[in-house]
Order: sequence, then C-alpha cells, then structure tokens
Amino acid sequence: MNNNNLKSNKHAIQKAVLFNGVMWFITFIILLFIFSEDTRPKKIDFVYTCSFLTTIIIPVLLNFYIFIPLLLKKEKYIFYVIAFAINIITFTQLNIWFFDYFIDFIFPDYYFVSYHSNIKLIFIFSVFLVITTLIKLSIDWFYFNKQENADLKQKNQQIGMQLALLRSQINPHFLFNSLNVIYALAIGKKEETKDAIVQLSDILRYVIYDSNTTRVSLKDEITLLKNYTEFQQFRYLDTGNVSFNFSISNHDYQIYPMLLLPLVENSFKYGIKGDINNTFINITLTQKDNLFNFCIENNFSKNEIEANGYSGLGNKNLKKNLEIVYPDQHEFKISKKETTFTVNLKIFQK
Amino acid sequence: MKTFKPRLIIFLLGLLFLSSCVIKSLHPFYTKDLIYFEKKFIGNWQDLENGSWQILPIQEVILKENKKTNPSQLDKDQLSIYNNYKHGYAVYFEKDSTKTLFLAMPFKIKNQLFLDFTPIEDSESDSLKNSLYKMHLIKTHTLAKFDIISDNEVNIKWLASKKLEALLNENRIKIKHEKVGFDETVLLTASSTELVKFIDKYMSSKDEDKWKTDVEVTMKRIHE
Repeated sequence: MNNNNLKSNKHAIQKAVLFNGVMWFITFIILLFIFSEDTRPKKIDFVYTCSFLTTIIIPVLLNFYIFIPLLLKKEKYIFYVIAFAINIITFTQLNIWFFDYFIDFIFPDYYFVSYHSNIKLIFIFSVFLVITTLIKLSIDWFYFNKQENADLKQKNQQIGMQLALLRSQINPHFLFNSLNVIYALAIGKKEETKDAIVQLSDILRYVIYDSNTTRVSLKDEITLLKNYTEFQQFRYLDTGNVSFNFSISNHDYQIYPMLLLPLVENSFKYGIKGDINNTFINITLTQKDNLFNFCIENNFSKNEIEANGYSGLGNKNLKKNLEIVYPDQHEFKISKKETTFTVNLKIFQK
Repeated sequence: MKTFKPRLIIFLLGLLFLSSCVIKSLHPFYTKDLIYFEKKFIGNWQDLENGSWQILPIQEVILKENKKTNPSQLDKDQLSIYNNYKHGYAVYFEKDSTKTLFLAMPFKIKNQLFLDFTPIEDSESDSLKNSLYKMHLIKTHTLAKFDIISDNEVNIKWLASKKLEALLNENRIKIKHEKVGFDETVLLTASSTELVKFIDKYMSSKDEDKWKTDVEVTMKRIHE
C-alpha cells in the first residue's frame, strides 16, 4: 500500500514537473516574442522576460496548487473567485513595484525603458493567469476523464465477474435439486423417470448453452419455467396444485436469463415439499409494453422456514442480480402472511 | 558633376559630425509635471566662444509676436500654445553673424535641472531657406543638463549621442528609436514618459563620464 502511494506520488510529481516544464518553456518563448516586439530578441529582452516570468510564477503556482485544488475543485466557487482576484491584484501590484524600482537594483547596467506600460503589464498578467487556469483545468479534466474511463472499465469488469460468479452459483444449486428429484423417481421405480431425465436435459441445455448471454427472449424463459414446473411435478404430483398463467404481448421481450427460476425453486422447496396439506403454487406472469410483472404465491410450512429461513441462496442471488442488471428499473417485494408467501417482481425497462 | 561630388561628400561628413553629437528625440524629454521654471536664467549671456545668448520668458515672446498684452486676448490656438509653453524660455543664440531661436523647456528630475531644446522658426531664419526645403525638415528635441553655477554663470551640457549608441550596441537598453538619414543618426521615438524614465535611470548610472559631451556651453551674464 505504502509502495503504491509512493509510486502514485512519484508519478504525480513527474507529471507536475513535465507540465510546468513544458508550460513555462512555451510561455518564455511567447513572452520573449511579445517583449522583443517582432525584432530579433536581444540580451536585454532575455533578461526582461526572465524577470517577468519570475514575478508571474508565484501567483500561477499558488493558483494551480492551492486555490484550484482547495477551493475550485471543492466547489467553493465564490471563495475561489475572491482568492483569484486577490491573487491577481496583489501580484500585479508587486509586478509593478518590481519593474518600477527593484529591477534597476538587480540589473543596474540595463535600461528597461520601452517595454510595456503598467496598464499593459496588468493586462498581460491577468490574461496570463486566466489562460493558465484554463489550461490547467483542461489538463486536469483530461486526466480526470481518463481516470473515470479506467474506473468505469474496471467496474464493468467487476460486474461481469460478479454476474458470472452468481450464475455459477445458480447452476449447481439447480442441478443439486434436480438430481434429488430424479433420485426420488428412480427410487420409486417410476415410469416417468426417463421423461424426467429428458426434461432435465432440456432444462440443462437451456441453462448451459442458451442462457449464457446477457438477455434471452421471454418466450424461452417461459419454456424453462414450464419445463421446470412439470419436472418438479413428477415428484409432487399427488401433493401439490401448481398453476402457471401468463399473458404476454411481446414474445421477444428481452429479459435477463435465469432470473425467475430461483423463485419457482424456492416455492417448490418451502411450499409443496413442506409438511402441509393442500399445497399450492400460483404463478402469474404478465408483460405489456415495457412493464413486466411476475408474481408467485405459495403456502408454506412454518417448520421448514424456521429451520432454514425462506430467502435462501436463490433469493439473495436474485436480489444481487436485480441490483446489477436492472438498477432503478425493478421492484422486488416479498410478503408473508400467516400461511402464504408471495413474491412480486416488476421490471420496467426504460 | 566633378566639382559637385566632393562638395556633397564634405557636406555629408559635416552633417554627420554635427548631427551625431547629441541625442535627438521626436518627443520632448519631459512630462508636464516635471516642468520647473528657473528665473535666474532670464537675461543676456555670453559663452566662452563669443556666442551671444538672449534668454526671454516664452510667454512674453508669444504675446509680443501676436501683438497682445494679455493671454486672454489670444485666439484659441495661440492660447493653447501659450499655456503649453508658458514656463519655457525663448533662447536667441547669435554667433558668427547667424541667429537662431530655440524653445527651451526647463524641468527637474531628482533635483537636477534639465533643458529640453527644440528649434523655433522665426522670420529671420525663415528667410534663409525656401519653402520646399523647409517642408522636408522636422524639429527634434535635444536634452541638456543645466547647472546654475552662480547668479552670473550657468553651464549647459547636451547629452552626447555616443553614450546612447554605446548602450544600444551593447544591448543594454530597450528604448524605442530609429536610425535615420545618410549617417544613420539615432532618433529616439520613445514617449516622453519613457524618456523621463531613461533620464532617471541614466542619472543613477555609475559611469563617471556620463555627462561628458562635445557640446557644452558655459555662459556668463552680461550686465548692461
């Protein structure tokens, strides 16, 4: 960490030295040209330009490294304007005194007569400070923008990795439950075992190959849910009453893959699989224009919930997924009554 | 042509010698706030080379030339000239049967008196040259250090141009100027404010010979 800080400080200092070196060199050339007034610069012009630069370096550096970072960048605009004005007035006056009195003491053998009047010097001084401020802000903006882009790339990469991680958690979780279902059918030597295996294979094909994109069509996602509910019914045929109603206006409506499956899984896990009678799962899915609504309701066993908690890994993953893939575009509500549990998910894509 | 060429060369050499002696400027060497009228200079004087100098307050001369007794009687243009130069001197210089008239404006910098000389046309000198010739002339200002030694003796030293040329050649001075004429005489084109700045700095110069000049006049008062 300390090494990183040292490196970053060293880099910042190198950047500042390079920036100032280039800026002051260009400034020297421009001022030399201005003070020489289109004639070939003479020794006295070099002396005068160096003297002028000396008087302007302090206010410019004060502006760069104190006023801009401490006031302007912290959005203290009024204080910055006041500080900027005081800076100009103070150092312009010092500049005038310097060229009226001190320069003759420093360079007694030189006669700086026909250079710019005090009014022109004030003008050059002020314009120079304004221009250098704009240059500094432009360069800072350039680096800020570059940094922001780098941060954004990094953030995107992190989100991608997080999504991949979440999806990789869903798949084994689902597989584990499904194998349990087939295991139960096989133990009972049920006829439906082979159908269940085919259905599971359909589900897994979807999970492994088709869902490996950022969005899938709602039609495919409904097929998955239908396959899953039918698959689960092999196990709970006699005990559960499962209804799945949907009404969609656009079959190609795009949705994040495997978004709804954890909710259906949970309903089977805590509802139908529970130790209660007359279990049910009511699934309603509607989609019109940009509004997608998914509601799943089931009755539940108190014992099961007390033992394991309802949310489980599936709901947690779903919430995380929703925050990443539908930020500010979704509503996720879980309501629990005495015997029923309802989850409602709304997605309103912009 | 054969006789003309040597004459021209002699004339040009003479011109070179005369014109390159003192510093000349397009603008006066003073600013109004520095004007300092010294009464003691008024009167008739004679220099060591038998030149006669008559010094009069310019305001008297302006009134007399315009045949007025009071400035309020002057017209607008005359009054403007009167007000601008009322603290100056009319300097009549007569030598070797030639007579010239100068306007000399007295001013003080750091307690040192100076005179800014500029020629004025008068009827006598006018008659010597035709109008076409006069059209080609422009009056310049010269700077002289003015010392009142006593009530009866003054000394005037014109600032030598070689001093300024040396500074220019050594690139130690930045002052607006042009080199004009055959002899490339340095003509200062700097403003009066800049010229005052130059004099101020020049006075502080450590050069012991800074006032050394070829054009120096010591005058003694003529008592009539």
